[in-house]
Amino acid sequence: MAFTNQQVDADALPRAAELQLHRLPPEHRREILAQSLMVLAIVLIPTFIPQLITKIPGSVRAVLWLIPITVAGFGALFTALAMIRFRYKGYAMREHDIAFRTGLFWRKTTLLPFDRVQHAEVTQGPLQRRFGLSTLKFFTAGGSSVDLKIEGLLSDQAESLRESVLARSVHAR
Amino acid sequence: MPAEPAETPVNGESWRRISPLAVIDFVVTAIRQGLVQLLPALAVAFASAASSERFEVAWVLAGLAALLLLGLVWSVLSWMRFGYRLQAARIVVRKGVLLRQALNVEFDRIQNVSVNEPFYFRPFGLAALGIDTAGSSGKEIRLPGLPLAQARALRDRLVAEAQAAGDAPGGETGADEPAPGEEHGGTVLLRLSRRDVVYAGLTANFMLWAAVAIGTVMGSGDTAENLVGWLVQTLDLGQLADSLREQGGDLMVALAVAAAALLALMLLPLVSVIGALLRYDGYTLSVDGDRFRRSSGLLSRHDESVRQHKIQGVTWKQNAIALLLGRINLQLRQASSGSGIESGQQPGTGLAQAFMVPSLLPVQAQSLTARFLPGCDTAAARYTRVDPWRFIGVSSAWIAVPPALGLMPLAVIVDARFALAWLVVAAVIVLIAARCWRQTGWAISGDHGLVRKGFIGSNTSVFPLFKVQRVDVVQTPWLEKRGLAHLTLHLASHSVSLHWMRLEDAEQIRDLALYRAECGDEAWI
Repeated sequence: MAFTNQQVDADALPRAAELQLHRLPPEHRREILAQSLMVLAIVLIPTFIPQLITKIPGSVRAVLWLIPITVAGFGALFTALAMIRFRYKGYAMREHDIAFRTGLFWRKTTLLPFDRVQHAEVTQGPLQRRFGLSTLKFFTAGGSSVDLKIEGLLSDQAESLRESVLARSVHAR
Repeated sequence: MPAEPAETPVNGESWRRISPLAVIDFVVTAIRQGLVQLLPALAVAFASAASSERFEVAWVLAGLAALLLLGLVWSVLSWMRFGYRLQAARIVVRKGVLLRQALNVEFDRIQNVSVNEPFYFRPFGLAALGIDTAGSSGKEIRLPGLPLAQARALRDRLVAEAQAAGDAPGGETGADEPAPGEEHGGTVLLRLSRRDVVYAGLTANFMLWAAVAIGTVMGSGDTAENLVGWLVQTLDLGQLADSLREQGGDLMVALAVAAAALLALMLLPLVSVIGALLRYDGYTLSVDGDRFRRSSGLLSRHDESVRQHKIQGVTWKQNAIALLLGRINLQLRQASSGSGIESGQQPGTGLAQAFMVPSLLPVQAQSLTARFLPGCDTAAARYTRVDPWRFIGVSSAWIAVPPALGLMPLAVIVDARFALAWLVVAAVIVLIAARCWRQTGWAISGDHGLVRKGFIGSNTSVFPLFKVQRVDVVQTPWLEKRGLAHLTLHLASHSVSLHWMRLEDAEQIRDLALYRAECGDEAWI
């Protein structure tokens, strides 16, 4: 193997930190909202059941109203957090790699060189289908888990991103 | 791999047979697999038979004999059916008694070929050839009962074919073809003496695990009590103690107890050393072209090889005992064969056992690392530490705060001394965290990254930067304010993470690793 070991000027390296990230499409925000509301509804409905049972005294029932109120409060909080988290999500492509950032408090930025991608997948859930969205997943060699997952891309966007990454990856087949 | 009823002979060549003694191997495999699967059933059957009144040893023995006979017949049938043949670009193996199958393995799918000499084959000069293939199926093909020389020749041929097939598209040089038939075609890099192997046993992590295991057994009162009771009864220890007391008084009894405890303590290293002898005796590491090969084993000889470019990294393992003895155990990291990705596109070796180079002196570890990872100068690495206050503060807070929640109310309600106890515990935790911080560090040495972690001993991951597959940088608003970040570098074999680094360091390592990964078009797995 021809082995070289020139000095690399650390300041001259392309800096990943200077990336301008693209936001995900607004449809994804609507999808997050729809999903949160659906989950909230499923959790909230059973909490009204005590109100329908007339055998429970009125005073107790009045106190039991606290349950749906609390649940709704937490639901509103989590929904708000999910909406804010949406603003922090972003992706970008460079000449040789793809970047994705996610997380509200735990902000994780992942960089994946195209050349290390072995395999890519585009999936679409039932709710995503309604909004015309897809999830793009990239896999590398070794582990069995997903290496990079971008949820909430427009379907044709996801498809073209996948194609362009695979086209630039020498090793993916 | 495709299975088809390939009964039609190609090239006019008929199936090659294996030695009838391979039946032993089939029996052993059957017993090994059967035991694992049947053990629960057998245990239940035995327990119910033992508790029933009509328990007859003869029936149990007869059942076992019948099972054994069945296994034997099955093995003979397996042998009769077993055959293999080499074709232009593949090896075909015919096997199976009821489910008859022919396995086709293309040469370019072969990842690794090994020659093993199980102890039951050694007296007859036979060996078993193991062929490891790429793909998520991770199935290994085993050709048992080949004469040793033939197995080695076949191995060398398959390795050469695989190399030629694999190199053709990549345009690599496959010039170094091994000399066929020899035990070690290449240069010997390392031979371990018996003493080294004993050290390997003493420094194995197994020791620590065994201590933990014994601790748990002793911790669960019933088991320990039963065990002690059983020991006292069977060895007639009571009488022994009485006679000792008659002869030499209580001192003698105390001495005997101390000796017994010492013996039990000695037993642990002994077991570990025996394990190491079985595994590592006669350890030879050699290099042949770009292929490293180790062979070792006392009763059964195992042989394992890896090509240089498949090595993802080298991990130096030095636990507390190894530190005391001044030894280092090296582990070669290879891409772990992943499942979950369809169609077996994913390369990776299905080797379950880690490729270990045990019991090295620091100088040997350095020179061997430079062999495994060309251009890697571990001696030149200067480690940078991470942020001490957050590292020590946060990691000890995680452990020390939950008990405080329990102990502080106790201190207020019951006794103030609970607070004191917590303070002592917390102080110990902080000291441990401080020691862990001292051992944690990273270095960039030429084209290689080094990450060290540990408590008393240390684990150091050495890896070529260009083999990095993915980089994660994590920040929380709190970390951002202080200019810190967590960095994780993912390799095909394992991932290396560092917490509480300076953000600019993390970003610089990320940029450098990505630059290296994206510049070169060398094969990395």
